[in-house]
Amino acid sequence: MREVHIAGAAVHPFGKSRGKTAADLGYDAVTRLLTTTSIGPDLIDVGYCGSSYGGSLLAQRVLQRVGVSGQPVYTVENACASGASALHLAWQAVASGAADCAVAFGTENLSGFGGGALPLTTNDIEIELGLVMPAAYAMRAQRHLHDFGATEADLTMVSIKNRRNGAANPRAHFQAEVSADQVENSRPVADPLRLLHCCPNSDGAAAVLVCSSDLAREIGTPTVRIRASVVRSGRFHTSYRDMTWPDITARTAEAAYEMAGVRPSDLDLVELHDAFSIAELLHAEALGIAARGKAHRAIADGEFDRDGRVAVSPSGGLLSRGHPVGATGVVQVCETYWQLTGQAGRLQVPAASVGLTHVTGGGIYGVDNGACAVHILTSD
Amino acid sequence: MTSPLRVIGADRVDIEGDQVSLLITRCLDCASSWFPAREQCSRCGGTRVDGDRISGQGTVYASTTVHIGAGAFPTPYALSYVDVEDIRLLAHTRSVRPLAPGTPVVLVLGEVGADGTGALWSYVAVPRTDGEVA
Ligand SMILES: [Zn+2]
Repeated sequence: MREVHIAGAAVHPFGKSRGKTAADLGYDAVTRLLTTTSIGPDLIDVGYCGSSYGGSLLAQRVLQRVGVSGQPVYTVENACASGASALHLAWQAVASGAADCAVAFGTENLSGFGGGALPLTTNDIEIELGLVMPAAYAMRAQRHLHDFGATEADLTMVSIKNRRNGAANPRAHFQAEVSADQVENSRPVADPLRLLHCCPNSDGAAAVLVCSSDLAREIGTPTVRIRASVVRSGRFHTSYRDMTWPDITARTAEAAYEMAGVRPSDLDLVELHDAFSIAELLHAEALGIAARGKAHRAIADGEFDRDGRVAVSPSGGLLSRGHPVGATGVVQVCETYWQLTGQAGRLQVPAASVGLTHVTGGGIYGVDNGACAVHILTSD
Repeated sequence: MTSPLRVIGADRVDIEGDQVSLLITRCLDCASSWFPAREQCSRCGGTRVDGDRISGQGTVYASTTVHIGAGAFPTPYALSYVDVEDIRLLAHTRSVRPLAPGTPVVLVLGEVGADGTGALWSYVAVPRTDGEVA
């Protein structure tokens, strides 16, 4: 397998973009990417688009507008891991030698669905009984609090930290801090989760340029290396399941650590799939950056702050940046690219050289999640 | 003349009176249990499977009250994951408050919502003491 690098990143800011389609948002991000890397469309061998709700042939509808037409392009659907799955396929193409240069992007417009919980897959025995994603995470939260002694105040601390981080991020949907009072008095969604324990449905897009070592040198932009790129699906069964231990995250991360030759203690920053505040506790433990049942302690002690032991979601995470489903896995990598190349500005984690990104999602019965992706990036 | 109840998941369970038992599948090769019942084991892929019927007595694993929901269910409504023998399933909960983990429950037939056509029923978790519905 060849070394694979990221030689550029670009984002259409997350938030509400009612007048723009997913294709418009993706076009904006890809155009910014080609401008910032000063490359032409002919250099791109293959393109991958991640999106859950953008519709058929979205990759073509975006890439042909910038002159990438004729090349193979693909639209990838893997729920919240759609964008990261697109990146994984781009990594495969370059690592295998099938391509020297690939563009991976994710784009989504969720404004069209209005407010409330997103529509989930139909013909599912849990969804037909009224299960929504906040309720699924709420039950994990109830059990985690029950088993490990964390409290609702610990969930609130996750929201406060990530909203504080995102307040400095010009690409974030929410760029304002929140107080404990605001979180605790926000509207109940699914006990014990309140509105400010949940990420917003957002519109947005993100793109990265993935290339070989030779081409990265030729392009001459700052680069990071992809040390690991791993996607896993949920293990399906209908028996007892420990819902405080997201097995899909643990399996994906373990494979990524092995591929990268990196340990959890080597990480300077993690962009984590905090779709709900409880998710940061569950996944931090499964990623191995906190001991089992102790993630709430790490947060209370400031270990996940931007200047802490390992910065968790220094960009603000999903709670602040928002969650345009298919774009999230790519924007995490964009944010980490800027961190590892020293371009993160007010978000900069001091001396960051090793970062991990994590997305997991997809609500279907019988699995933790439908799909999970982990990438490990280093500054050289 | 009364029309038959519309029961969500009616094909997954046996209903006698208001008592609900689960129709499950056991794999003869790898001993996995499945609900709803299926013709093929989704662990080992084998097709040597037997149908079984188990009582609706179980234990709450986790529970929540949903305030912003979906579908035909008036909010707030409570959902629980319930362990019945080695099966984990989601069910509505008769009380609006969440049930504590470890609460013994029994699954009974109950009304859970309504759509334009009328009431919708399903299996519903109710706390029990010594096998009796509380
Ligand atoms: Zn089997």
